[in-house]
Amino acid sequence: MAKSTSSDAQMLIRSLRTAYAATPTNLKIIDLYVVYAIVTAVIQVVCMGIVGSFPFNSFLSGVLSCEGTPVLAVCLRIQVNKENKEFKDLPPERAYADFVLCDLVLHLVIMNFLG
Amino acid sequence: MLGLAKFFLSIGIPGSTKDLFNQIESLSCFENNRISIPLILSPPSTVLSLTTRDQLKVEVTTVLGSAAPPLTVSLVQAFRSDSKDTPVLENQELQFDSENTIHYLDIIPLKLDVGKYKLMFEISFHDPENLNTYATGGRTSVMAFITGSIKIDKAEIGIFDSDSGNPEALKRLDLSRDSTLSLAANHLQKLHLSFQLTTPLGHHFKPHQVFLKLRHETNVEHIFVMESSARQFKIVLDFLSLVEKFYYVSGKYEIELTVGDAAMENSFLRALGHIDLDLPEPPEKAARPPTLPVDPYLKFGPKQEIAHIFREPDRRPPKELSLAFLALTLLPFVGFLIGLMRLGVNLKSFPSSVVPAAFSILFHAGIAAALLLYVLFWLKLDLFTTLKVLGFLGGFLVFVGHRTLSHHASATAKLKSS
Repeated sequence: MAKSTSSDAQMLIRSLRTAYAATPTNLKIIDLYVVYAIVTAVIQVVCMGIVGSFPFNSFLSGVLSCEGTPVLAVCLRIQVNKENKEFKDLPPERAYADFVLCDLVLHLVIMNFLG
Repeated sequence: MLGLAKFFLSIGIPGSTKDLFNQIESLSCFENNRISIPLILSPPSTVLSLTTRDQLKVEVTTVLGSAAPPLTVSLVQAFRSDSKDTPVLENQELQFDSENTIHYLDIIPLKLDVGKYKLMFEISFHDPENLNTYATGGRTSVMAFITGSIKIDKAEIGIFDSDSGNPEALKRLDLSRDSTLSLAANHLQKLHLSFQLTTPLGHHFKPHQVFLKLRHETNVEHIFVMESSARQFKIVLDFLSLVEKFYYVSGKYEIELTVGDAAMENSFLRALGHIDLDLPEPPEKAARPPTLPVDPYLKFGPKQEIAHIFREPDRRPPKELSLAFLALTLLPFVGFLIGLMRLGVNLKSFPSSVVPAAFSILFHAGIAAALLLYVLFWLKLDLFTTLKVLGFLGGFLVFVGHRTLSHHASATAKLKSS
């Protein structure tokens, strides 16, 4: 019983990996960016946990920026994905321009809050 | 206009040099404008003394003190503070002393009594043209005090048996200096004190403060306010009813009389002597006199010094730890770049011909400039300059980005169709 579940898990993972390899490069870049941003956020939280949250506003602005950009990146991914029927008519360049604009605004707010 | 000028003149000296500069600059704007220059009417002193025969003086100048055009000031109405409806004076013109550029009025012949007055002035120009260039604001009202020295006479003090007023037992007092009377009374008698106050013009005067104070040897004090009837001030201390107030304490009480007012130049506090009071024994439930501290002025001495402890600044992490974490934070970025390379990221669809390439470069340069601006904002600039620069940069970016991305979109569309 245990063996079959572990082999099921392995098969699951393997099929996931092959499916993932089929996604276009665009989306893989965006996924990589999301992973990078979230890992940075996690590291910041760990750092704060160790040394204490003295400049709390700096901590907040750092963590929130690291969470805000992957959110925007996920929106970009949704809009750019060709298999997504909702956004078929939206040119990906427009989505990219939106992403850039929103990022700029987010970073302005973050920098203001950084202190 | 006049209201604004008065506001700027009345706020005193502001705290910072920047505010002081702003204040003086706004006052000079008032001085030199072409529409209407405000004229300020101000009395150099608002306390006029009858004994030194002061004159009522008024100065009319512009906001920064330069001279006004030829004009006449007239005192339209003057009200006493207690009779606000009927003016005491009406329509007096003030004379002009051109040496000191002051308008003055002699008040001695006007027979104004001591007290608090509200004066209303009006300015009229000699040259009617000036009405357009100068703003006077109709009537200006000024509060003034007229003080004088008050005469006290017919002061009498005496002890009566209750219910029998005996005028011969009254002693005359001279209240212009301290006296040392020695009286004695028991609880069945009354103390009677009366005097009259007259102003320099002969009217009856009612000051703000008329108090009689009895102080025991143990420093227990009792203060009484004197009532005024039509012609005189009088107090009758009926010891029978005051026995409880005095806490049944017998002994020697010092008597002091206090008369004071803002319009009175010779307010005084006089010791009149002492009175030996013989009061009965206190019953079981009588209140004890309050025990005063040994030196009541000890209350007003300097208090204990408070050592102010500032909030300790929070412990910052040691420098090496912070640097270590900085390196740790930059690690995912390196991982990101490595991942990108493994995915085979390329710049193949970068436009090759000149114009679109220029736009593309400008677009990326614009984004980099925005990020650099943010770093500067963090380090140095304030929000307003940042937003100003960002506005320009944003407009530029929108234009360039639109060109670049539409070129890219058309290029991919061509690639797909072909």
